[in-house]
Amino acid sequence: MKIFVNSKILIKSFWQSSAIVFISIVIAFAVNSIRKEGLPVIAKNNNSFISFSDAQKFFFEQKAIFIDARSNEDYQNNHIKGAKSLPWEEVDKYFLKATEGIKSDELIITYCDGATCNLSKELSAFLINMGFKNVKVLINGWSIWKQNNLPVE
Amino acid sequence: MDGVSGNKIIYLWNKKTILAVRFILGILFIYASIDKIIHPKAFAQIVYNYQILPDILVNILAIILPWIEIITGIFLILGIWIHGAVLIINLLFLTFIIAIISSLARGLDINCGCFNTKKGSISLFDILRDLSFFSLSIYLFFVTFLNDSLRK
Repeated sequence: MKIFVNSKILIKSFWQSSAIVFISIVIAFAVNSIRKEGLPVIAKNNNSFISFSDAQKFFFEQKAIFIDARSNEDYQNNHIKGAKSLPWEEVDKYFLKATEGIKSDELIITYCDGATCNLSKELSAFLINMGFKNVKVLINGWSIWKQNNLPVE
Repeated sequence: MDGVSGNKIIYLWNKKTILAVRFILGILFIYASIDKIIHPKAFAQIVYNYQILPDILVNILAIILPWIEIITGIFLILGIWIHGAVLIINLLFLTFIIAIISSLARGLDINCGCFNTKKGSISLFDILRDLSFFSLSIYLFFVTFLNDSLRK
């Protein structure tokens, strides 16, 4: 008994699977474009930085949400007053909790510790990819915040 | 012996068995897609964490994949374009298993994102679970493609 796959069946399966994928793409983009929490199709990855003086100004005017990208342990020890914790290393675990209630157009300032620290940059790029439109990085944020004796908790 | 083997083949090719497997996999795919459709940002984050795709493709996949799953699941249950649907579920299972193995090999502590976007870490269990479902989809592949070929 010879077992073989009929070429007509193979061709049929390819056009059927292509059609299923095509229909899925059309519906997916249509739904994504009309829903409020839709994702930006092309994820942006442009880090945008904020100066210390601007960050300080927005802090006192309560016009920015500060997000600490350091580890949860560092955050528990001390952090910028009112900052939320979203450790880049465990972003998967804390993402939903940390971003709960934040509107996509609110100003978010990410920070970590040290001029060469990349956690805040990675986190910023990630949040932009997730649809937050106004995310800035405060370079060396934790160190300069402490040096200037600004509110911590 | 021939009779026993013949019965086994008839049983494996039994329409009710095939229908049951189609329903199991169809419902599985529909179930797996719902939470991802409801929480697109969380799912995009999971796709991002796998660190397999370039950033530019992360959101595109997060938008499209759950809809491919749900439509394939529905078509599988309803018997619409069955050859195409079976081909897709086999390719998807293969991709998922490779992605999980690759992530475990790289030591990533990430959420599987297999059935929902909730917390949890990938483990050997996810591979074994996907392999068991994959065996069902391979069965469906053989009965769908080879059975049709034998009839021609």
